[in-house]
Amino acid sequence: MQYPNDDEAKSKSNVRIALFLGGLAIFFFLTSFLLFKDGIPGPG
Amino acid sequence: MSTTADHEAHHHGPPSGIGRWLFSTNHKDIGTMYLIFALVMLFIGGASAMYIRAELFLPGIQFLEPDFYNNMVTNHALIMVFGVVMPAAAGLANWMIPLMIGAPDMALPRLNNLSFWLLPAAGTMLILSTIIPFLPGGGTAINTGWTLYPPLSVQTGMAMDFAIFTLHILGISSILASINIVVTIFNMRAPGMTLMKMPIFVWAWLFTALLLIMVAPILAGGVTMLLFDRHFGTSFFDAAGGGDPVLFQHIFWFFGHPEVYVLLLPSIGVIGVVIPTFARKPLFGYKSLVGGMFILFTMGMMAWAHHQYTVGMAAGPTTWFMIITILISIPVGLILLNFMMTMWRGSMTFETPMLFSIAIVLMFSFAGVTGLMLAVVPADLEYHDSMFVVAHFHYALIPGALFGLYAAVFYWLPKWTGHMYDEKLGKLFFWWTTIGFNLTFFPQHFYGLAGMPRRIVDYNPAFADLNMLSSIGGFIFGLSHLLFLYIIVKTVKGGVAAGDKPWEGAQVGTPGLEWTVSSPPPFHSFETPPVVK
Repeated sequence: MQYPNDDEAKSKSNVRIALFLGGLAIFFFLTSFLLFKDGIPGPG
Repeated sequence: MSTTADHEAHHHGPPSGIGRWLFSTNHKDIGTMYLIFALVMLFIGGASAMYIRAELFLPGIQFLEPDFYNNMVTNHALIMVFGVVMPAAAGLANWMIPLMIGAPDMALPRLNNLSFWLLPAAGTMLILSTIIPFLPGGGTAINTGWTLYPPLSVQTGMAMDFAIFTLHILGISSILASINIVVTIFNMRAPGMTLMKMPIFVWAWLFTALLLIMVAPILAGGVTMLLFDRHFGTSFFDAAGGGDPVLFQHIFWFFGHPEVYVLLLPSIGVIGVVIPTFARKPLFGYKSLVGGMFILFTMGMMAWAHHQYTVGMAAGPTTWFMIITILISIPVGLILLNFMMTMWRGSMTFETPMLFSIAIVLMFSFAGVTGLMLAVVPADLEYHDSMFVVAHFHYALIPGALFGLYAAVFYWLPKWTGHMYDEKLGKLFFWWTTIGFNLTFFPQHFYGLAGMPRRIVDYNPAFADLNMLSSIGGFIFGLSHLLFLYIIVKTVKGGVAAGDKPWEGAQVGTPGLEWTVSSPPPFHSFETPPVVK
């Protein structure tokens, strides 16, 4: 039976792609803060 | 790595008791939980819609505080978008993608469990956000609408913090589920199942998942800033401190517009498999449909500010957003043309999933036409924030997203349960819901154009007759869902055996491998990888 975790190479490859996509998501999250290139606006 | 003993345990079928569901790593069980969650939320979100239509049945304030009305408007949108359509589509993805591509399960089954179980937590927080304003010191209800625009969202009571954390949790759930889906599609296909042999539903979900990975974090960033402005003394969106409230609108819609495609694409994928089945013809222009979805995916990320024409952007960007929005009608038209050409000279029959698919093509086209009207800047300045916009996006999202999900449920219910649903009741549900939907939203075009604003608890008595018609339609539409629930329960409990291939036309074109397994499929499908020739 070929469960996803049975094949070590495939399992590692799955995790690698997932980490890349997770990194992409974090990059997009941080990008929204990079809009403030002059620093975060303080109290009004 | 799994041990031999683990494998033996797997052979014994599903675990018993609550543990089967709490600790499930089985894509079918998790898919079922997603679908049940979406169904429960459909009734909660639907109840808020019923409240809205009951309130608008007559001019004047009928029931509760205007703030509560605004809260219901907000909750209805948040629940329907994040609690119904997205989880239901994720449920379909969980159930069908591994079966279609011949994978034994999702690529990351434990992550799959986490993605689902974040949802009930988020749903509970959202419901709590409605209750909190009624408690001592609870502050005001969330009265911003789903867009959560500051400065109002900064001034709202603590219920807003619950909504913000709800969005964070939902965002994490969506991103994790999307990562899992992309990895499954790229890495878990059966030998011979090349990308261009995949059923169109799988392609549609690939684009959906990639979109979500890119835009859900942007919303998370925006609401995090909102949280900081509320509690930590920053002024991201406060002009007095050097921030800009319009920036939130840009951040929100950079997420919000692609989100529309996140809701639409899975349903496009569904009708991409349903129409060839009941027209008994291969999908017309498979490659062009994949290309059309890719163009939609790309252009969908460039058109966000057409939601904000009235904020006073410069002429250059305004023109850009107008042109891009109008150009989006080209890939959408291409996709609809593919579906119509698939039906052309097909040997068509009109089972419930096909009826929903045809209704989608017709009614979504109508939303496309009103969408073009709204894309034109000078016209939009007139239509903005009117009931015309409400009519437009309900014509886009109810046929475009919800009807696609209904088509999917009727199409795959025999596969999931092993029983055929009652076709007569299915057709009755189709006509009941379609008539109710049109009666609700078609009149809104007219009183919207005549000047009735959206998100308002009271209105000019001149609009009373059409509003009453809308409300009657709304109640008819809402009630039809009790029949939907009955059909599902009846089919799960029993009925005529469906057989492995309940639809004779499902084998044309680029069929998925779901038809090669039994109905219902075994707890562990594809124990040996199938080979696609």
